Amino acid sequence: MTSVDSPAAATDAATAKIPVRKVVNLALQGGGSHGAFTWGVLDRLLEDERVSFEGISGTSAGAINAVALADGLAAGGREEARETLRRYWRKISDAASRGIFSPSALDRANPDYGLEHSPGYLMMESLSYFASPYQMNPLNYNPFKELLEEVIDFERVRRQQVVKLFISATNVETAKLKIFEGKDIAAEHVLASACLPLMMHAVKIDGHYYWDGSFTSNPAIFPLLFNCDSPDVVMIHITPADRPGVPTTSPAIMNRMQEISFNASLIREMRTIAYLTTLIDAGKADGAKRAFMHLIEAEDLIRTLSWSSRLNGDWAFLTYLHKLGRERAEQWLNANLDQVGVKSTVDLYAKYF
Amino acid sequence: MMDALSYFTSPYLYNPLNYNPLRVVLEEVVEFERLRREGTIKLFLCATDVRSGKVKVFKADEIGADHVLASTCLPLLMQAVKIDDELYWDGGFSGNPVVFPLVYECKTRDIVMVHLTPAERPEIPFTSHAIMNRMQEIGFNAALIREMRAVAFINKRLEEGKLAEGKQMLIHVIEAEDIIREFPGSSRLNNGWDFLCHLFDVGRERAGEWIDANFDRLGIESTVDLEEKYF
Repeated sequence: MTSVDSPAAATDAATAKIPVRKVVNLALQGGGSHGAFTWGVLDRLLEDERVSFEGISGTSAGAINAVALADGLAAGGREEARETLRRYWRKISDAASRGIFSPSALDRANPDYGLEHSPGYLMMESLSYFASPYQMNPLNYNPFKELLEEVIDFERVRRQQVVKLFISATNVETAKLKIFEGKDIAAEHVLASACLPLMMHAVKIDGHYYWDGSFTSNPAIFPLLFNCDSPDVVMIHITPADRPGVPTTSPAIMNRMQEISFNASLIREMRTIAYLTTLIDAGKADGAKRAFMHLIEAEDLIRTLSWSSRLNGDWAFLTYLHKLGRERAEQWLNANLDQVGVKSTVDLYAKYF
Repeated sequence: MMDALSYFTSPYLYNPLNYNPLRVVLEEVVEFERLRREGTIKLFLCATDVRSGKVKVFKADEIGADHVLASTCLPLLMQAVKIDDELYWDGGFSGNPVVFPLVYECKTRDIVMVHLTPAERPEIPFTSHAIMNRMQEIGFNAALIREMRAVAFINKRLEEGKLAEGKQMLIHVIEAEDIIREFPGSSRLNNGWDFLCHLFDVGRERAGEWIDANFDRLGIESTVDLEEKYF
């Protein structure tokens, strides 16, 4: 592991008046369609030549954004990466408009982007309580796999060395987290990371079964600290941690249970990082890397969206989130880019303790 | 019936007065006043803050029946428990249980964990019911697994002499996953006396075996391989 004498490096850069170049790692959360927010963030960061990426850790929708970004960068650089991301989200939206989860006219008029008036969604939601994907879809037909393989060249993803990729999934049999690394990643691994247990069959890889990585890491931070030189991690949160008030209807309770569950591992990991950081700053930890944590999010708006909107692939909704992501990324760049490599811009104690 | 109902109604609808018989039992059996006063043992109860999703630890000098109810509050069966204006659900979501207070606030290095929530289940669930049960088991193990990985990481750095501060923890486990994972998920709500006595007997047996095999190792080394169990 390297230790970076960052304040000095930053001062040098400033005095020499050379363009600032910052290398960061990315940690991308899952959240279904809400991943279009992350698409917007990445789109804006890719526009800014001052920022480049070393490691990317992603879960679920975060894993999809991660492989699309890696594939595009490897194929042709920043513009190509923006194009690949856009192509993926456009295709998902086209597929959704043909699928049973397309929003009804009532849903479209709804400000929270929910699907509570979509006949397909209502049927699926109540069915899933009684019939499992093994009963409803015994042949395990998953159009999503074809779509992924159409948009992303996984052969290139495995070969590329532009970014280090880490994709999280949950081992169904052991409850442990599993990290897949770039050189191993195929469409199955992304499907595993994004596998919602009540809607899809568990994904079998090398004799083990996997579900969505969000249960155990959303996403995992440690691979970025152990395997990358850059000490900076930019987290893009899309699973709301804070939600004022108490949910009192069953769907709202279940939604909140899932949100809490999908944040639990990340909160715990950030507490460990905060603890080690305190030891490092006190000079009590030898050879450990001092991490700088950053955060781009839109919890204030994302928590006002209906829970079912995570399955809403309507183009108007996706582009709304994309625009929001670009805005928040821009605010973050303006406020915090100077601090990258220098200090954390998120207070871990306030946020996770 | 309860299971199917809970999908459509909620404890806020079918139990608006929030009557909870567990509170009556708790207050009958436990003298919370004495518990708060005496401090014979350091107690840490874990609950989940509904608003923030964060783990909350209650300590002996503040514990009443409410704090125990908060720690055991299943969100689809009971209303969230309000304590000092914050709302709490079962601690299982964020720490099952929490280990760090035992590291920070106790002198002994040994922790004997009594595991109930099956982590390993060597078959894939196929019915909606079994899938939901497994999702919950995984959810209720996630925070503990992460915490034990942190303990293992810090133990290793300490062994290598790379941390100037911190406590090398010795971890032990008493469990009966092999037996408990055979019970259906709904048995967690089964309070039949025969069932409870059966579990009590299994617990005594496993504790007996554990004492015979590991008592000598207490204070000396971990008797569970953290890398194997949690990585």
